[in-house]
Amino acid sequence: MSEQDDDRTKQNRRRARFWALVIGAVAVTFYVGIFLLISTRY
Amino acid sequence: MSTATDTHHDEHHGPAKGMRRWLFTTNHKDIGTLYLWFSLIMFFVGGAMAMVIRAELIQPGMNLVDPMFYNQMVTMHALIMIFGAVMPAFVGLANWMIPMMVGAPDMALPRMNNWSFWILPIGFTLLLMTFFVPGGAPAAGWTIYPPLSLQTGDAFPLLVFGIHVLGISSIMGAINIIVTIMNMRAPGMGLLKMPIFVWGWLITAYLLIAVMPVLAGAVTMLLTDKYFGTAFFDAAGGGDPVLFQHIFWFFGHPEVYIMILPAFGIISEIIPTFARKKLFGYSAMVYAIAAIAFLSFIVWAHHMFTVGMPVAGLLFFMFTTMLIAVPTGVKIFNWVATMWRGAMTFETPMLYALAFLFLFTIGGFSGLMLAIVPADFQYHDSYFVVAHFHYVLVPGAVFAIMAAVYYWLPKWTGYMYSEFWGKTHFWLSTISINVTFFPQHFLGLAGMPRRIPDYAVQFTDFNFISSIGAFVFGLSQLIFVYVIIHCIRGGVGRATDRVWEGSHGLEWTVPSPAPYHTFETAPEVK
Ligand code: HEM
Ligand SMILES: [Cu+2]
Repeated sequence: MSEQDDDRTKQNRRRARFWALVIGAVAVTFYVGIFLLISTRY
Repeated sequence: MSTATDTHHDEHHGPAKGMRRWLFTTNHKDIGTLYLWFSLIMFFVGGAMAMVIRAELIQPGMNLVDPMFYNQMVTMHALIMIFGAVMPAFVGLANWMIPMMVGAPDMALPRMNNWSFWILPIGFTLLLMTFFVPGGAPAAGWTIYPPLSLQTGDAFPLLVFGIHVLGISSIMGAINIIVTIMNMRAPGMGLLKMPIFVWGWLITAYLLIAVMPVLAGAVTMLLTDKYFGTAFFDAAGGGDPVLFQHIFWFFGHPEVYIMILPAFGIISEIIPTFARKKLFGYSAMVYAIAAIAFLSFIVWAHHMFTVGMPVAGLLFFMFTTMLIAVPTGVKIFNWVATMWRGAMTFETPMLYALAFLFLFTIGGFSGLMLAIVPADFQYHDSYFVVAHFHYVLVPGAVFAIMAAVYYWLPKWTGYMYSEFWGKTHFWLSTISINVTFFPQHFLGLAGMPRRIPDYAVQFTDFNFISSIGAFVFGLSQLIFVYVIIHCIRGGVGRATDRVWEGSHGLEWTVPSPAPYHTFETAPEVK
């Protein structure tokens, strides 16, 4: 696919990859965060 | 480099042949198809378990299975239907339709898309393997409350890892959907021009990102409590089992909206098409979805009114829960207003959409009853709750999925399905689902508890009726499979590109069946 993307699509996918990483990092933070949050209770 | 053969890209040939096509595909339509077939299979696996449940309950006494196995059926039925049938069906529809609806050539991250799908069968292999390990499958209910769930046998780690895998799949799917919608739209496709189905999914995807990690965290803590000596939820070690319920429902309530917001989107596509009018109050519909999503984070404790909460907590969660009825009402009224004075016709997708409107609303009303704290003290853990959530999930979420399949099947296959068999499927399903679940309201009000294999004799009649309804519903779904296969094999003739007289949107501008690659050059949206 990506070989036949036009320039606009290539650029869009680049931006999409960046945001995917950001959102993925948020998800991981939530996962770790829930442990930290609960641990403060003890 | 640039010989004549080089300009000849493999990708333009369309799909690869045989198994490789499905294993290695990065095409959103192939992946959508995989999700949808997977979901259909799981619908029958989970459905078979429901049949076992209803067979056991057809008359009082211990009839068919032993109580431990009954509990496994109840637990696995719910897990499979939620994570295997309803959610993958919506993701499949998202894969097929969102790129075409926003004028994108594919999902933004096609290789991750392949992974999102293929780890699903892995997760379900883990889950289904639990039937064959010592102690049997999980049996503590899909809500896996400790301490009961910690008594699960060797199935427990499989369950936890299974949920992790399904969670990762959902999160990757949600990320892909968000970045596709945010970055891949055709020029001119502004956010407030997107079809409502796309909006519904965008907001759903954010909910998934927010709550799936919380579920994963909760089950990890159960795992460490059971095997590694922690005491997150163990009172003897200074932990708190009620804390688990809070974390679980912080995930669980948004989860129920994850299963209904895409359905709202589907209904908002179908009703305008068959009423031949524009959707009434487009932006109000978008804001209503957003409001419901926001509120879904602050209502979770309505599932635990009976645990012994401070009155301020009871009141807070009662009022926030009731507030959800406001944006939900906005949606219902807007759908009705869309039909008002429309030139309506009643093809199968529209019939399903209308049944959704009536029957989902019944589920909404019983939800409101459950939201009233003193009333819920009576209803909680009774069959009234079972009736409530089946009304919102079966004639709600599942009917919306069926409506969507009938609506888009001609676009997917290039052929029209049989309207006669579609309508037969509709009427049998609609009548039998009410026969199944309406009497359960009465059972609950009369005091029959949920999750039991036997009951007092005064509940006999309504249980008998409910079981008959369930068997008819189960059998009727074979018609659905017939209609789909018949349609794939040519149906009742070729479909036009528009398919429906009243249809609007980019997906109807491409040929039927939709070519393997669409919108490789972005369309111009005015
Ligand atoms: C007006 C909207 C709604 C309200 C006010 C509402 C309210 C409630 C309340 C108070 C309960 C807890 C009852 C109890 O355990 O005593 C409940 C349970 C449930 N609701 Fe709803 N609900 C609404 C819509 C929905 C929707 C749209 C879905 C799913 C698509 C849904 C799915 C469920 C499920 C699955 C349960 C049972 C969970 C369990 O204990 O296993 N509800 N609802
Ligand atoms: Cu809830």
